[in-house]
Amino acid sequence: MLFNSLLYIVFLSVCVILYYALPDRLKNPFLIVSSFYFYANWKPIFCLLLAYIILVAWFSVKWISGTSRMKKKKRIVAWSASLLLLPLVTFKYLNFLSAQLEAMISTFHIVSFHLPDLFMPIGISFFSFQALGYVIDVYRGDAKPQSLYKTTLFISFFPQLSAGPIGRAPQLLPQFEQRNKCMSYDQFITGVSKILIGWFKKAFIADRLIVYVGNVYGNIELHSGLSLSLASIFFALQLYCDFSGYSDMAVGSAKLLGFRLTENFRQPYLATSVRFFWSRWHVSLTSWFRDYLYVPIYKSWLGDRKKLSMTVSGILTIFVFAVSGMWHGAGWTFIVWGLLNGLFLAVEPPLLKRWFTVESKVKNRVFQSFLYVAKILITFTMMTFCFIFFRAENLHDAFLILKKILFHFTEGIYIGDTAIFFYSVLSVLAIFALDIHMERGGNPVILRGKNLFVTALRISSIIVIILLFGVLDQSQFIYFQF
Amino acid sequence: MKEIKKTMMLVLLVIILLAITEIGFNFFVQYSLKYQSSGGYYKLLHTLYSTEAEVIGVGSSVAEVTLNPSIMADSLGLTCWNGGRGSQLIQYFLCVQEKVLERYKPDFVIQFMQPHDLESPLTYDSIRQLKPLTKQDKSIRKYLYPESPFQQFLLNSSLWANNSNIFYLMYALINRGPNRGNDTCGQKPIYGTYRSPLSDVAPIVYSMNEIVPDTATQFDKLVKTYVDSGCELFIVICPYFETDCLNSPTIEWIYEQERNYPNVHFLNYWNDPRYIGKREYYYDFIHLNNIGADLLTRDIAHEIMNFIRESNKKTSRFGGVI
Repeated sequence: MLFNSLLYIVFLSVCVILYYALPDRLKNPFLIVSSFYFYANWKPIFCLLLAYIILVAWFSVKWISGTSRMKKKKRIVAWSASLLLLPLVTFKYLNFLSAQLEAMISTFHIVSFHLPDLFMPIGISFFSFQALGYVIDVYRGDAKPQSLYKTTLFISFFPQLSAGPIGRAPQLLPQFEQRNKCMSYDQFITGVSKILIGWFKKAFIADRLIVYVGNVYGNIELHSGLSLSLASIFFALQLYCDFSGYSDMAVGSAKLLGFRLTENFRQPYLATSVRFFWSRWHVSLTSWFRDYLYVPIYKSWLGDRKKLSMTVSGILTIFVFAVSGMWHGAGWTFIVWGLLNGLFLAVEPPLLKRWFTVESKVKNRVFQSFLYVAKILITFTMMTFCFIFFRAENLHDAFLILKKILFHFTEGIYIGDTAIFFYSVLSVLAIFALDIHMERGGNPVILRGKNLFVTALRISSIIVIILLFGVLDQSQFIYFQF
Repeated sequence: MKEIKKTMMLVLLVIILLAITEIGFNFFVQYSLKYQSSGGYYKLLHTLYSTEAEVIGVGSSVAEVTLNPSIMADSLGLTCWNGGRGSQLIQYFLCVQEKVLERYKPDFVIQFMQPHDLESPLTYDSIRQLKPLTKQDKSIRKYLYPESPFQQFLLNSSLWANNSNIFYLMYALINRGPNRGNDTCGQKPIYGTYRSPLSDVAPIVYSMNEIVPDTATQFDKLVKTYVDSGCELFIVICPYFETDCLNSPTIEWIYEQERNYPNVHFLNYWNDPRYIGKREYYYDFIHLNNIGADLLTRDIAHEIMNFIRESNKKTSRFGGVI
């Protein structure tokens, strides 16, 4: 069931009405049933996988809480991590590994073989990481071990099941106990606003841009560097709107049920450095990697020292981002994308230091603004550059795109269908207007007006815009594949 | 209770505002269709509801810009109508077929196809020409959403029915129509990589894809219905400026139809040396300009004429028309 489908709107409406109509003791069981129904809507068989992840997490935390020896606890976490990540590795990387092995073997003409391609369960990367985070939190003492019932609720909660945000036990678990008796007006308007803005981002922006991007990236040889640059910029925005649109809808859906999920995006393309970009982009995953991978390794390397050298911490950053790249997809393009981001983050601090020195000497306000915008543009360019690897089918295509951008830039521009191009430009303007509004401290609940009429006017306007300009073909969200 | 009341009030206000917008937008749609400068709406209405031409051409933009009805009519001595509409796919062809055959049986149907039509999946979102008509003619709805009665029900709303269509509604209001300027030689403006100069860009590369079964089923239905109704069906593939392959699964499929049915005829100009690489005949890579279109119309008319002569030798079926 996709968030941008009418079926989901009906499902959510029924869920919200029944949830508030039911007595308190039945609310959580109802959420579990709804969540499993939601997941079974894709492929019912994968509910078994979800159940497996829940059981492993529950057994692990039960075992951890039952032992006092740190060494044994560590061993349990290691086992638990292996068992929780096993399905992810199998479904996600087996195809990739078998292709690599196949290519290697065929080079030496030993024997030809081909393993059958596996269908990847939706959301596996997200709920596996959420379960693993929970086990580590219990091991660290940051969360209390929960009953099987609560663990099921925590891992399978449907608004975040298919593509996050990756929830944390200390934040989400207490919310299953302290709930509102009925939905407040504020809660309703916040939830509806989030869902509609998310749908707007997906249907009006992401799914419009995808056409131009697909046309250009599908025929790289035929297009000029200018068209490829434009398509790369459009892709960066498409990816952002697709995923942040999904996240907004997830947060909004949870809000209607009275739950608060992590905000996954905070205007990332208005970030003034790569570091700031990553504190605004896919926040739940970035913080997951920081808390459960970067920090533990950093601490273990630190030993008795006060601080790690810039080179060592840089290498660690590159490593963590390479892992993040692999999390996104089994392919060299994703690994290079991760490595590039890690590299930019590693080399950025000394460069930024120099930039700040220059900036501090500038007293003219216009020039200060110019430097501020320049920082945003440089960061955006760097991220768009990285996303070329994220979008390209393979490394050869990615390098061909870069070559064309560098050496064959002005060989005409591809417009394609005039209407689609017109909508694309309109949607780019819309997303920047939306983000600038938020960045300047605008009301996060955009659709809430001064009075009831203005609120209704805003809600109906956005519905009309989605109906008239949105792509309503229920296309899948990009991050579902991860 | 107060909170619930406020929420319900908001929901009610949204519904009222949406209803007002729906009514207002419906007026706009009707206005934009009635007063559009390009006349495309009337062309569509004529194709679906009033033409009784003996020769009818159906297809997408390739048909729209290629078939010159007056040349065809003069060459054959038959009335001719070009029912081609830009960006339309099989669902549009089927809809035209149903509406035309409901009224009368044309002698000749010229069905324009692309060399890769059967290799693309069905996409219902792009049938924009039919969308504005779905409110008044419910029988069209099944071509947009064949499997979903709920989606068909939603087409009662103009807002829903005209999703993604507003650009074209506005464009049709300001576009001066097919005879607007000498620079386009009367052809429909199409922008893209291949716009100009034609010779400086690489040709379109076609890979041999598999036939999509759902699409093939629809085309099978189209051919079978024309065959059963007794029309002479001429399937035409127009020439492209340049191509790098000679055949496609779609072309093989059309040859098979020609073999299977005596009243199906295939005119394949895709790699015709008389047209390939000749800039003076093309508007862009796949669309002929008026010079090329007139030439091709004469070629098609010549083939139909040959067929009529051959038929007249055997029977007197077309005896009176030449």
